[in-house]
Amino acid sequence: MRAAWAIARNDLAQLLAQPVAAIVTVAVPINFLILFVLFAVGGGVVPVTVRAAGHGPATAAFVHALRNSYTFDVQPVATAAQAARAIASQNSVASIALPRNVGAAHSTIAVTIDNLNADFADDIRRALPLAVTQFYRGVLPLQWREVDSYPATATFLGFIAVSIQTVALLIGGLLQGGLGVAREWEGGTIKELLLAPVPGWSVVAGKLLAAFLGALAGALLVLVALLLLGVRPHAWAEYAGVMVLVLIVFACLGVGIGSALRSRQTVFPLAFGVGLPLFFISGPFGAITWGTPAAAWAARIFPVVYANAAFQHAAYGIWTLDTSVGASWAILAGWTLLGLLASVWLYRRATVAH
Amino acid sequence: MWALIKKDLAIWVRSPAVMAVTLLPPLALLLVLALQAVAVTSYPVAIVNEDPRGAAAATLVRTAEAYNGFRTQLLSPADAQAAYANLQVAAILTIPPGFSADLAAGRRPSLTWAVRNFNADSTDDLRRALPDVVTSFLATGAAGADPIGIAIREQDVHPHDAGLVAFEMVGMLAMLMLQAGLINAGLAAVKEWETGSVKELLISPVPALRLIAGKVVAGVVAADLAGVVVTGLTVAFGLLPTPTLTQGLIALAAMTLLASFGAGIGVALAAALRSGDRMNPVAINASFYLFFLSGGVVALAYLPAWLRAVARVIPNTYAVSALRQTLLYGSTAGTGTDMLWLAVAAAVGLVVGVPALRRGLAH
Repeated sequence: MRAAWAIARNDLAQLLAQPVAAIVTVAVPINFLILFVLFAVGGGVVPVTVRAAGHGPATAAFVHALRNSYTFDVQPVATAAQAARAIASQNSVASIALPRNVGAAHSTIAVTIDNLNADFADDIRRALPLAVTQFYRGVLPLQWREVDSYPATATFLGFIAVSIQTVALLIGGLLQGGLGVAREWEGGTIKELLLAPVPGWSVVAGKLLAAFLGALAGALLVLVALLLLGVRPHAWAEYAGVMVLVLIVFACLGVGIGSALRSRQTVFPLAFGVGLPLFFISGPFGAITWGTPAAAWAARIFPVVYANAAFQHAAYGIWTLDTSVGASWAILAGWTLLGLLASVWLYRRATVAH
Repeated sequence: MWALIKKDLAIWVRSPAVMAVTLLPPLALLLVLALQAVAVTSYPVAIVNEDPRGAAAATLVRTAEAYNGFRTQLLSPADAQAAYANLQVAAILTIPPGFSADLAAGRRPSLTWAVRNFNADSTDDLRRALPDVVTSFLATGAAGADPIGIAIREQDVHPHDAGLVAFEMVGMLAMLMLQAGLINAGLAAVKEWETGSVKELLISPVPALRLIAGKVVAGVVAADLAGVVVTGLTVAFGLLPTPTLTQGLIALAAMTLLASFGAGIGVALAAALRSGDRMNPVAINASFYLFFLSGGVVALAYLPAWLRAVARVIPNTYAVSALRQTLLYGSTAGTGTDMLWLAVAAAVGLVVGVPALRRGLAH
């Protein structure tokens, strides 16, 4: 075990000796968080201009309905030219022109939509009927009552930010594990490790420990950022438990990948190439069962989806997966064991070939 | 110079790792966006009709089933609850017993809309959806005279809605071009230091400027090859419409200018970092940031004002704009301004990169 500890210390010292590489690899997960903050900020509200011909209570009531449609960021404008300029300069994506007699029989609302894509345009098309029904709510022949599953709804940013904790562990573990092992082959120092009078497993253990600690630094950075964003896990023990388990899995897989590829230049794109798709298919925006069956099927193979569900549970007390809590933890534990075995097997296989 | 370009291109073609660094991240993003496109445009919803004999209830069910924001299943109350509990559906629309009779009698029956409110985004999508269904239902006349007097007249800026995946694809194409320019030119330069061949270059009778030009041009050509292959594949798979010759040439020019900017920055980074291990993460991170900051996955208008101001000084923004106009909307409107800004960006990139690498070689 002393040898493992020495190898881990050496790896961490090497990481610190290359400050640019260290900062970039440790900061990669936090970069993801920043990038997805932008994504969430962008997807939040739809900027529209509203030009009202009248100023009566009906107009005020309709503008109020637009503002309460969970969709629009209403920017009042006085002329059609201003509305057109706002669209042309990409400051708004639609202009809504309210007639003087809004709400009277046969009144027409003219809407110009910058239909950049079907998803964005449909949000606007669907929000207008919501505003209209709110405006007419008192005279509609039917009503509806919304029953939410949970007393509070997480913000979009808060929800996806929790999943980014998993990405931090995934990319951090793969990078730290993979780069640490690949470096030995590229620098030729693997020979020295092989000739050293220490058992092979202690080399793997040392590499794993270094990868674990290196990736933990990035994951903790993400956690601090989540706290600053207002995410407050209500089950800290569960949060810490899933963090440790998942980090072991990906550090192990990183060591295995590094042994198999023996090239730092290949480990880096692989960590990104694997991390991003797994993030997107593993339920960062909702339940995987609401999406494409093929994506849900693929997501179930990997541990990311179970880690995401466990993090959401620890953070918000909601369970976002159709696999039970116990079964999900069992799968994560199974992946940990598999990861450990894979790292040892791939390292041994690589060194035998060497 | 031609010999240098040929040599660097030959190295690129024979370097699967470099090709992977260039192509893997954007292609991976494209794959997952294609897989997720269904999820963001419609939700699985259970409908429980407790008024099975009512004509108005039947019309409401048909209206909800035809709604393009739902993937509906008509279920019994127990099955719907089971599907809701197992997360097979995101919401349950329950039509109460006596709905049609209550409507006819003017008793204002109440629908129940059970929503799995995981987060504000998906919940708001569902909150928007039901009123849309209700207005369509009222317009059928099944609930008597439609009290809604407002008509909505829609006019669209583009002749058709682009698909979400195609829209994202164009943003990623810009990211690919920048990343390819950065990495190909940067790694080609870094390799000279890593392999020690920089000494041979320095003692050769070729002027330094020509050496650098060779690296930059090779990086841009390799990026263009990658861009043309990815664009060709997306057109072949029907994700993007086939562009006209003019549109295709403008798109290629936009890609080339963006890659030139990337190559300029790439050789500057190479001179500063002199190591592939440092170069790769810096280049990948830089291109990701520029992709998101230029509104790659959303659109400029959705960003807050400060971010829109940032986006306006990022060359990706103009490349994305020109590529969307030509490849997505089949138009060349506004591409002149985009090309002008891209040309300025390419010039800035080269003005920064070439002297930096020249100084690096001199040391």
